[in-house]
Amino acid sequence: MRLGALDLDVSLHAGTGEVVAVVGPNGAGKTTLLRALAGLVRLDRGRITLGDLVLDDLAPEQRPVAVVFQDGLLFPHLSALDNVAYGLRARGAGRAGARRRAGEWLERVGLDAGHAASRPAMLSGGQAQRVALARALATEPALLLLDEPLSAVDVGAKAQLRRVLREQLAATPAVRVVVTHDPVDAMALAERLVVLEGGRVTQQGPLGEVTTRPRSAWVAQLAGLNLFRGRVDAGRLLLDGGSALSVATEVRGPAFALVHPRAVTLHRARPEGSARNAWAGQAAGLHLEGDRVRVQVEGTPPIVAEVTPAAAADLRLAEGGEVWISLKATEVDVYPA
Amino acid sequence: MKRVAVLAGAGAALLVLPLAGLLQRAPWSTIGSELAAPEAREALRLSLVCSAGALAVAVVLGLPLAWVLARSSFPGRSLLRALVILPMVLPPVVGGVGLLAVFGRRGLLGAHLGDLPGFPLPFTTAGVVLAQAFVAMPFLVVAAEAGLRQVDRRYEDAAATLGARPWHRFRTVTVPLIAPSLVAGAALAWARALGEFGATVTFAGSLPGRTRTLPTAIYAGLQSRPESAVALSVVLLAVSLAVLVGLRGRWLGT
Amino acid sequence: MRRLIVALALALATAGCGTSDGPGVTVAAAASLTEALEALGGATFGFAGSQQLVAQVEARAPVDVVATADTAAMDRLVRGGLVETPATFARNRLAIAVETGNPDRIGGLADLGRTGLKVVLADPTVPAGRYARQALDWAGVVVQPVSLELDVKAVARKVASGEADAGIVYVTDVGGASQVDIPEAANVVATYPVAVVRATGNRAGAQAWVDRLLGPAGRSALAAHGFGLP
Repeated sequence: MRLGALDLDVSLHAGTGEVVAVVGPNGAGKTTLLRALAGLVRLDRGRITLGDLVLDDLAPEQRPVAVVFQDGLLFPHLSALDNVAYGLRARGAGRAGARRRAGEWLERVGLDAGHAASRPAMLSGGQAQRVALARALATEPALLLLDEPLSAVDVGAKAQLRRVLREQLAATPAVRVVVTHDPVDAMALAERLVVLEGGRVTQQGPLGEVTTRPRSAWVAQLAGLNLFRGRVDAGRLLLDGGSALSVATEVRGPAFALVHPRAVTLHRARPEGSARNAWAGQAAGLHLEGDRVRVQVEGTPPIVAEVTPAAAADLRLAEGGEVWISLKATEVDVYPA
Repeated sequence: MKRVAVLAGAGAALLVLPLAGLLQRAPWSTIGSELAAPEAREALRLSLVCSAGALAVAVVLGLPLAWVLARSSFPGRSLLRALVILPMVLPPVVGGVGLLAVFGRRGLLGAHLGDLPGFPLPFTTAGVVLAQAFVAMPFLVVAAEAGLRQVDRRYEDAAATLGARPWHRFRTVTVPLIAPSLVAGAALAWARALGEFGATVTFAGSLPGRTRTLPTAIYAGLQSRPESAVALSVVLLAVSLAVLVGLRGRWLGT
Repeated sequence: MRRLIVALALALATAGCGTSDGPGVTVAAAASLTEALEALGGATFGFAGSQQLVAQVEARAPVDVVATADTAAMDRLVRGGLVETPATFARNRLAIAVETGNPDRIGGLADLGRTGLKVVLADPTVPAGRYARQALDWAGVVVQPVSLELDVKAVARKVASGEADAGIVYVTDVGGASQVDIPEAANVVATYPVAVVRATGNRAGAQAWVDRLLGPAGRSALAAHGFGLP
C-alpha cells in the first residue's frame, strides 16, 4: 500500500508474507496512519491499494479491512459472541449461522466457552482483546490492522495475549500491520519494522537489521545504543554537532556510528592509554538498570555510558560532576547513512 | 439548616397538597362508572391514540433533528437549537395560534394544502396530533441530542470497520447506546402530549370523539359534570406519575 | 367537592382580572358581559362561564355582586339562599357569525345544515351553546359542528379568523365577523339576572353598583355593546 495523507507523508509497503510493525514515538502519526488505512480519516493526497483494489475512495464499511482497537472497543450492549458475530451479521449473515461461526472464532482465540455470553464489562482486559481479535478476524479481512493491541492489557496477561496474537497473525492470510510504541511487542509480533517519526518514515526493514543498524535517534534509544551521525574523512567521523570521533572504518562520506554504552569508559581525570577518543563532560543522569548503572554524560558529543555500581562509586560519580570519557576507535561501529 | 427544612417542606407541600386534595375529593365509589361513561371513554381513547401518534412524529422527525444538532456544525446551529426548545417554554395557546397561522385554513401553508385529503388540519384528529407533537417533540430532541453527544463515536467507527453501513450502524450500535436517553425523552414527550391542552383546543377545537382529548374533556366537565372531570383528572395524574416514577430521576437522559 | 376544585382553579385564573379600586365592589359576571361591564366600570370584575360563577359564590369566594348569563344558574343561587332578589338587567339574542362579507351566502339557520360547511358551536355546558341547540332544534336544522368550543368567544374567534365558516354566538359576541340575524320567532332570548351576594362585606357599595347597572349609565353601556334591555 502506498499512502500520503494529512501531515503524514508516508510511503508504506506491506505484503502478505510478513507482519509489519509500525513503530515510533507517541504523536508520530501511527494511529492516524492506521485510521487512514481503515478509512476513518480521509487522505489529502495519495492512494491506498490493496492488491488490485483501490481503497482511498471507499468508506470504511466498504473496505475489506478490519481493526483490532487499542481498548478493544467491544460493543457494551452485546455479548462477546454477538460482538464477534457483528461483522458477519452486518454483511448479511443470518443470526444462527453468524453465531456459530463466531463461536468457532472465540474457540480459536482461546476464550473460555463460558464467557461467550458475557458482556464486555465482565471480561478481563486480556479476554476482551481476544474477543476483539476474533471479531476482526471473523470478517476474514484482506487487511488486518492492530492498534497498540497489548497496551490496555495488564502485564500479567500480556505474555499470554502475545502468544495468541502471534498464532492468529501467523494463521491469517491477510496483510497484517501492527501499530505499537512498545518495542517488545513489535519484536514479538512482527518481522518487518517501519519507523515513523514526526509523520515521516525514518527507517524500515527486517527487524534485526533495523535494531542493529538504527538510522534514527529513536530507534537507537529503543535499542539502548548511542548513535552519532556525521561524515567520515581521513579516519575521523566529523559529527554534525561539531566534534569528531576517531574511527577505524572503510566507509567514506555520510555515515552513522553506533556505540554500545558498555564500550564507553569513564575516568576521573584525563585518561592515558590507547583509546583514541577522549573528552570531558558532565554526568547529567544516573540510572540503575539491573546490575548496571547507565550514565548520561553531557559533553561534545554527549554519550551514554554503562558501568558497574562499584565503578560508579569509585569514580564518585554524582549528577553534575565532571567526568572524562574514553572510547576506542575500534568500538565505534560505522555504517553508511 | 432548620430554615432550609421548613422552606423545603413548604415547597413540597405546595406541589403535593393540590394533588392530594384532588385524590381526596375523587369520587372513588363511582369512579368506575364515571370512567365507563361514553364521553370519558372517548376522551381517554382519543388521548391515547393521539399521544401515541404525537410520540411517533416526535421520534421520526425528532431523532434526525437531534442527530443534526449533535453531529453537524453549521452557522446558526445554536439558534436552531434555541428555536427547537422554544415550544417547551412558550405558553401552549401561543403555540396553537402559531400553528393556526401556518396550518389554518388561511395559513401560510394551510391555504395551499387545503385541497389535499385530510386537510385542512384544524378540527381534525390529525390536527390534535400535530398540536401535541409541537409541544412534545422538544423533550425528545433535547434528550436524544444529549445522548448522541455523549456516545463514544469510536464504537461507530468500529462498527464501520466491521462492514456496517451507516443506517445499520445507527440501528445496531448508536441507538442501543443512547437508549436510556431516548427512553427518558420519549416518556417525557409522551406525558407532555397526553396533558396538552392550550395548543390543542386553540388549533384543533373540541369535539367529542374527534378532538376532545382528556384535558379538554376535564375542562368541559368542570362546567357541568365535576365528578367526571375529577375522575379523568385522577387518570391523567396516575399516568403522569407512573411515567415519572418509571424514569426514576433520569430526567433528561444524562 | 366541585366547589373546591373550581374555586381553586378560578381563584388563580381570575386573580388578575380587572382593576383594583381599594375597598371597592367585586363583581363576578358572565364572559359575554366583558366589554360592556368594563366600559361601565366602577367595580373590580371577574369574568367566567355561568357554571363557574355559581361555583364561586357557593364556595364563598369574596364577590359582592354576581351577574349570570342565564336564569337557571341564578335560580340555583336563589334556592341556596346565597343571593338577594335578582333583577333582570339585560337580554341577549343569538346571531349567526359568518366570515366577513358572507362569502358562503348564509341566509339563516337552515343554511347551517349544508354539507361541507364548517360550523362551530359552543358546548352545551355553556348557556350560549344550549340556546344555540335549542334554536336549531326549533328550526328543525341538523348540524354536525366541527367543534363544540368551551367558550362562546372562541366560537366567534374561529369564525372571524376564517378557520370556520359559521357559528352561532350572541349578537354581542360577533366581533370581527359578519352577522346574519336570526328572526325573533326563531331566536332564543337569554335573560341576564344580577343580584347582590348575601355574604358580601360591602352591601351598600354592592347595591349602589347594581343600581348603577340598572340605571341610565348601565343601560347605555349595555345597549352600546349590543345587549337588549328589559
